[in-house]
Amino acid sequence: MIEIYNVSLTLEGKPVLRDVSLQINKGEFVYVIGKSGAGKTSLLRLIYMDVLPDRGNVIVEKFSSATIKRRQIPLLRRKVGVVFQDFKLLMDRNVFDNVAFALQVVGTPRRKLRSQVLNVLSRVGLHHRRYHMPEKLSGGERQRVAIARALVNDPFVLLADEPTGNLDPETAGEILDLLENINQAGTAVLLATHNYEIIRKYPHRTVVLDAGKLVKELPAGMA
Amino acid sequence: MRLWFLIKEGILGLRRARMASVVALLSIGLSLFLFGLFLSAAINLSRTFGQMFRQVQLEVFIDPSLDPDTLEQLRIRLEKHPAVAGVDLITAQQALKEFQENFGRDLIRVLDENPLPPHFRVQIRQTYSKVEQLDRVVADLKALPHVDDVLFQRELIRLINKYFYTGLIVAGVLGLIVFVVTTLLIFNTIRLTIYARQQVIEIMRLIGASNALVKGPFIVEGVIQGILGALLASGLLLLVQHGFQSVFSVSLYLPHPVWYALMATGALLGIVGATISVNKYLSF
Repeated sequence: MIEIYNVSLTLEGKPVLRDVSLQINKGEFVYVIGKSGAGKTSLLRLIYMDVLPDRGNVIVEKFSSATIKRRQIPLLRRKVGVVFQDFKLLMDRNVFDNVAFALQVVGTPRRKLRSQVLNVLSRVGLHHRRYHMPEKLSGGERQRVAIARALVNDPFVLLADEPTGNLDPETAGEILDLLENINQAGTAVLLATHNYEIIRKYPHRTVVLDAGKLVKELPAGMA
Repeated sequence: MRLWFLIKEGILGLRRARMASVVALLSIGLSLFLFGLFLSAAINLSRTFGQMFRQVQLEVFIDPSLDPDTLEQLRIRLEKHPAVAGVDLITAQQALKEFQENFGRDLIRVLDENPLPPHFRVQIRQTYSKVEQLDRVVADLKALPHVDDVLFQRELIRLINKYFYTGLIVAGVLGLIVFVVTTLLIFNTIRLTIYARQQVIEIMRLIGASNALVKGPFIVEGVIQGILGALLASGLLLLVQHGFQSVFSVSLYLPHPVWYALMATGALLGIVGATISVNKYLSF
């Protein structure tokens, strides 16, 4: 379902990924770990095709980086949820509207929209804060809104780029619990982090990136 | 649903960034006002020239002994000339009456007879407004049988032409500069408002919005800003028109096409400006 074959990527003249190959199966939870600049974010960007590889091939469900057309990229992104360290919420609208926005852009009918948003907000435990503006929320709550927005279109995979990077350890634990629940409900999770503590507490298959190369692949509990 | 979403997002975008929208609106309004001002200056200059030119006529002097039939035939021949817009016969009696009205002197009392000959007063089409063209028309008319002489206010027409074309060139050049500056100002205003919201564009792309859907609300916003700016510019132009009337007692002519041009320019610049600005953020 996500297959990466011998991918190399250069950004602004610098090689950021070299000959990386990786497969992520349906419903799997995988960590990508490495120092800053190791290529974690670039690997995630390749999957939601924000960048295309110089060499090799990225296959995400039926889409291949070798053949995908520009107009098909939005269709791919509707099947892939993405969350970031800095949440990327729309600060000018409330929690409900932030999540609803993801449904509106794909043309969800109004009658379905409300129930879907309330459903996903319940899943991330923010039903009661749906009319709050993002600035009134804590960091953990903001990340929950971002996760709800990523989930509301029912993606097959959730890409999380340092989702706990801005959070205290306790809140980070709550977000990891939430991601575990999401994964157990059937959504694959690919989580990029440089925090080994998380991996020890919530063990899953782990791939290690160093200077753009995939140097190790460890089964759950071995990191 | 989608179209409604685009319109709603566009309107919400304006409301959410209220201060930036007001500044953009003022900037677009003032730019279009400048453009409208030069447009109306050019129109009024052209109109004034037209009015002045209509007062300039050719006087075609004819053999005083012509019988009515020959006079009528001559009038028909004059009217057939492509430069001629209209022909009036001024009889000797009418010429005398006009002289008395204009100069207040009774020529009969001084000279015992009417020295003024009958003649045709010929209106010329505005497309023949240049002195060289009029010279050719005069030569054509002089060649007609029974025409003694053809006169016109050559120096006056030369001056009108000179000032009109100089004025038109100055207004045209200034108008072009104003239009370019207006376009750049409006583009820049829209670019800045979109730049301030590039995160919205980034998020829309991340959650799978198509390029058309990303652009849509910004284009709606651009059109609304352009049209509201044009309305503001129209209001300012009406104020100028009113001011002209009360200060100089001169009525400034602002025909409907000026308003249409302002609206169309505002809306078009809104669409093009928004499209170009958003395109910058749409690599995929």
